[in-house]
Amino acid sequence: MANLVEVSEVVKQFRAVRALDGCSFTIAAPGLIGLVGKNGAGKTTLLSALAGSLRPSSGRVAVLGLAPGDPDLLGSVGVLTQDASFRRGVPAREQLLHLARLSGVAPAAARTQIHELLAELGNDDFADQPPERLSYGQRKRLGIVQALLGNPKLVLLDEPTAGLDPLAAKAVRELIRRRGADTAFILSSHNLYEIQDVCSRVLVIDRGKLVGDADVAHLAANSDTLMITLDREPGAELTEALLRVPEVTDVARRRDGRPGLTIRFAATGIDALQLRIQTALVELGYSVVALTREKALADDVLDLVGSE
Amino acid sequence: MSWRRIALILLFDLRHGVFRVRGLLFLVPFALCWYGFLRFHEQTIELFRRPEGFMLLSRILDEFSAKALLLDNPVLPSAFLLTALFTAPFFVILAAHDQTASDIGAGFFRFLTARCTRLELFLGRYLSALTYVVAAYSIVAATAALLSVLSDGTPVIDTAVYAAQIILTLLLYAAPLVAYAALTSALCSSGVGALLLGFAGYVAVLIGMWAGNGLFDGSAPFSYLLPSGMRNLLFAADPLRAAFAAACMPVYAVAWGWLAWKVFGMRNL
Repeated sequence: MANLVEVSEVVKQFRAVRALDGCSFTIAAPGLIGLVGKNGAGKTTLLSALAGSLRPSSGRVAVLGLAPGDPDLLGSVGVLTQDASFRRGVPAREQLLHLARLSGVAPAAARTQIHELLAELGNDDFADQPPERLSYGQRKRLGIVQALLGNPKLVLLDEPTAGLDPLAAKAVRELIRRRGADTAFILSSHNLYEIQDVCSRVLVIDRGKLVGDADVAHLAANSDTLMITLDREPGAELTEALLRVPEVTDVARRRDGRPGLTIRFAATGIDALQLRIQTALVELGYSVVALTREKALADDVLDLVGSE
Repeated sequence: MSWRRIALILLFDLRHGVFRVRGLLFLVPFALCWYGFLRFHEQTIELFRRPEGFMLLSRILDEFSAKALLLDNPVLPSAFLLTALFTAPFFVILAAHDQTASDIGAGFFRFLTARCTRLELFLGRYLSALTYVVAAYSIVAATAALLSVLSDGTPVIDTAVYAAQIILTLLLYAAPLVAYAALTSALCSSGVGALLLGFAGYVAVLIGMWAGNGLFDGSAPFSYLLPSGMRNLLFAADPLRAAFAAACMPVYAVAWGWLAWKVFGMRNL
């Protein structure tokens, strides 16, 4: 049986810019896969190459064993790229209907599917307007819906929650989780918390190359790190107090933007250690919002691509 | 290749293109031009009935073809055909300039590439533009035929058959021009750019043809780069010559269409 995705030494050159530089990886089985990297790392270019809207300068890309754009692949892959947009002046629902029919969905079933998908993401009241009259978030939701029409086997989503309000972003994540049982997803995001929350595997891209490939569950289970979220930014006195705890080897501020600390330790009795740490926090007047034993994905990613 | 998908693309583009800016950009001047022509149809018939009209036509066509056009066929539809063929490059480029350019630039095709092949997309848009152009000309041809029957008393059946021949001739002549417009559209990422390149490119080819022909005494081989080189043969009194010219039009369409497809096939959408 063919791998879901195969990318082999893919290069994509745009005049002076080498967007992909020998990128290689394989996705053998369906799942929820995250794609992360800095701005300009090549995430959108990679997704576009997988979708068939960009042709690599060299190398090989295969989806379900076929080249992107192969007629046998049509309807099997759903795509939302960052720079795709609907046609001006045409009601959004009509465009979704057109796209569904191109995917082979009968008109009545397409209308039902469109309504259900929009309802899962909030409501569909706005869908009868042309896209230029809609907000960015509404257009983004339409983009996600069109990627799921026709029940494709693989869905490529480029920054699916960028620009969405928290409730809408949560609805998108829940939709992806629900659909993830039957459909493979590759989603790129700058929100590493979201990737860690939704995905089971994460690929890290930097300067057009794959530099990291991590199983998210493995990261959590084998971690010598405690992630603490506090009610406010920690001060220097807290760091000093925690470093005085014998088993603690390193204390650093969280790099994912949330107030808190990453604490590295070398201890066998994790429960006792957690109790000592929490005691130190309470004595200094901090409240613990969350405490987990795992390394933040952000730390792994930033170690691989630098701390920009 | 799926003709079902091509038909879906064609119908969607026709339905949502005709009364948008790019559709109206063609429809308004086209309608005004032919309204004027039909409004003064009696004067047109009168002009071409007179010796002066025949002499005017003889300067464009050979004497036998001019005679066949005016004496053997209803005058008004013939005048329409002549005018339509000479003005076709302008109107067809206006109608067909934005087959793909705007949607390439806006990113709409990124929703389509996972659902249909590039060839289906290309053919769907080409056939949509060709259908639009031929439909517009058909309406005018039918109106000219009707006016000819009502004003000039030409026989109904003969006039209707002649009108059908005119529509077929215009379809054949428009096909390569729409293919040329597909090429300029595929080269651009905006409708305005495609329109400017369409007109400028056509003029550039005409100048190139004229300059190239200047190198040859007598013959003008470069004239055949565009379908206008065979245009006058479409009116030939000799049916074999007219049929030959008509048969060459699909060849032009395939040649220009192949170039357009090569460009579109390589574009990053």
